[in-house]
Amino acid sequence: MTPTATTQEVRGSLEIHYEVTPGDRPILLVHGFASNSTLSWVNTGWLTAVEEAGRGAITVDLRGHGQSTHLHDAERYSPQLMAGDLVVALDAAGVPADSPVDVIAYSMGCRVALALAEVAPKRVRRLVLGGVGTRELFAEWDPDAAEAFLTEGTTADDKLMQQTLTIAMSVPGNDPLALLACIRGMAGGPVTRAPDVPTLVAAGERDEVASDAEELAAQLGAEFVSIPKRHHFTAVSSRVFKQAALDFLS
Amino acid sequence: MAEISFELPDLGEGLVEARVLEWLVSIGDMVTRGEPLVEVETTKSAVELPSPQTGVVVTFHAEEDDLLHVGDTLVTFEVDDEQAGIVGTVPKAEAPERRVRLQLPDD
Repeated sequence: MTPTATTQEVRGSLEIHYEVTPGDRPILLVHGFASNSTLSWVNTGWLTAVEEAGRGAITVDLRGHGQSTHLHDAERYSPQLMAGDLVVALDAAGVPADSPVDVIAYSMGCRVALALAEVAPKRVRRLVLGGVGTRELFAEWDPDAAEAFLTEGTTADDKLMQQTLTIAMSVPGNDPLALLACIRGMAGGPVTRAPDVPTLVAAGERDEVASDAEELAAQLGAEFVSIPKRHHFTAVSSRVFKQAALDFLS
Repeated sequence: MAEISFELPDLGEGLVEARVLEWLVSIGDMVTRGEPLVEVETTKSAVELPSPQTGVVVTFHAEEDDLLHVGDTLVTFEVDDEQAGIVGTVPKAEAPERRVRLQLPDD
């Protein structure tokens, strides 16, 4: 059950938290499910690498994540709605509408970045998609089992879901009802439409979530980089990933 | 010249150990404080630790895939004598300069 009082309260306003690191040609960084900008892009050394490359950065906490509003209503989560949040953040950061930015996204953030390229094609110059394959994980998950785990701690049969949600709930500040709404709202079909911009797909060679990332790259007509020895949660900080992404965007 | 060693820092959030994923410098490298030093994996995520010290890297006290506890010796540098007495801590990566919140209407 979603507590209606809380839902009513957050319906009135949505706050999107974003941060700007000054520098040339800022790169928009989009984190994944149950993460936030600090975990995905600061602690992993990404902002340092972006700055060293002479580039600026705009990081956005997606709705339901980090310091943005933790909405509890599944209808308020979709790749398109989150892409809209990115547009608002770009506008607020002073990026001109006719000045496309490079985008680096990870895991669920890739679906948001692809939606951005679809709904606001003039805002995107190049795309880097990390930790993503053709599988759409949320559509494979049983939402009732996810709810039972997130609200009552009931162990789920789906081991990958259990592992992902366990890590999700270990992140301070994560809200189980917002994560559940996000899972339900974001669940959808596989990525099919290729973006109209040059795209790079990268994934850890041991990434269970993105085991067929190379297949996705082929479908999107994208370049592909395999990150040696890394799995889904360790590929994001890899030097190989950073170098490949920054070279691709240079 | 003198040597100075650093321990695996407290990574916060009750984390007591981390596994070395990859050293980002080599033995003999001259590194500056704040430069990326090593990537480690906790039970929650991967973290890149900046160098706590400017100096020449002389010893890694853990190899890739080794598990370290907070407080275990991580790395030793060779530094100028006048720096040897300084006890440092591994700095955290710095957050960006500008923080903004946006108020949006309902979808």
